[in-house]
Amino acid sequence: MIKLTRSFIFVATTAGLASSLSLIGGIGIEHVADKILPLVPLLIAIPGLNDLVGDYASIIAAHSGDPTERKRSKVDLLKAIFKVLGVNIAAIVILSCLTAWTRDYVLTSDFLIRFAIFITVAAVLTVLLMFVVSGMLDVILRKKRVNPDELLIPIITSLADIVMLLFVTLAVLTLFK
Amino acid sequence: MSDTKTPLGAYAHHSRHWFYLNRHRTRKIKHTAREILTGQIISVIGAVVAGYVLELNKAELVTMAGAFLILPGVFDLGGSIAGAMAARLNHRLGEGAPARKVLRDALFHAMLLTCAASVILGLFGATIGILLFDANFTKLLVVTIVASVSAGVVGFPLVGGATWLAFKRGVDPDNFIGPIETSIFDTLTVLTVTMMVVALR
Repeated sequence: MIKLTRSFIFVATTAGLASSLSLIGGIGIEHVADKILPLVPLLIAIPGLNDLVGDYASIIAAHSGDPTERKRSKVDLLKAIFKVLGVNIAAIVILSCLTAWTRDYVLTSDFLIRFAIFITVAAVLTVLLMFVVSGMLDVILRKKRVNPDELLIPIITSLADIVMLLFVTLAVLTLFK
Repeated sequence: MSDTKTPLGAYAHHSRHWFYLNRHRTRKIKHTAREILTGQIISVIGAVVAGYVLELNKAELVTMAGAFLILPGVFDLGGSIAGAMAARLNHRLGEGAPARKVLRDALFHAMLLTCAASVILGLFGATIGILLFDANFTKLLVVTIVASVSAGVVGFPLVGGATWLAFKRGVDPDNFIGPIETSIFDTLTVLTVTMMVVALR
């Protein structure tokens, strides 16, 4: 019973702390809340971007921790991810803009170009960064004799969320000001 | 140095070997891409629905300092606990345990975990809120805990039901429940946080 309680406390604390890491991204969004509200397509795209990087981060981390994975299969995974990422980016841009249009948001060509470029650059950079970081962490964790499976996914997904929300904050302050 | 001892037929066999290997590799990349795409289609549609709900409720959310601060944390908490619950459920069902008991245990465990973890998240969120955005500590703490638990009350049975249905139909839930569960929790989180902000205004 004591062992079960200890295990529960450990899991609950880890889940609470891992989610608390996302608050770093939340600080950025709260900081620019007034500026982000009129940018309807970007506001609609936030959950989509968050899910996109979270999903890819867990796929990348799961493959990194796999001992059967080699350099070549990582390249194959990168190719597979980039095949889908294009469709994904296009879907987020089109659906967010269409939804914003139904909410009477006036879409200008200038905004559309900036919006599409931002989503593309932010998604591609975040995915590439996750590849590099997961590879590095995998090596470091193995050297320290820690099983990467236990730590890699929570670290990489939280990091991906933070990076993407910081990209959004940065875009609101510079690209869409 | 020329290779005079190897017959030409062996080279032909060798090149055929690389041809098949390359074809297998291309097929594998396509297969992986197709699997990722299926999940991402569900994820994008669900996330745009969540974004639309966020857009509809932005006026209410902006009235409470710190509401946007806690939003990513509450998104993350529900999604990660539901993901773990679905994986555990799938493995227990695979071991042949009775479905009703497994489902009840998994839901109870997930709810208990959400209650405990949301307190930690709420304490961190409210502390950051009070330090950086002059937010009300108690209100932000209550919003985080009640919103997380309410999203769980609706979301966990939905994710549990979807996992059980997928398992029953012979589809591996591990391959597609992730995007479903993030979509459900994104939408529910925006709704529950908004309701709490309106209730405490």
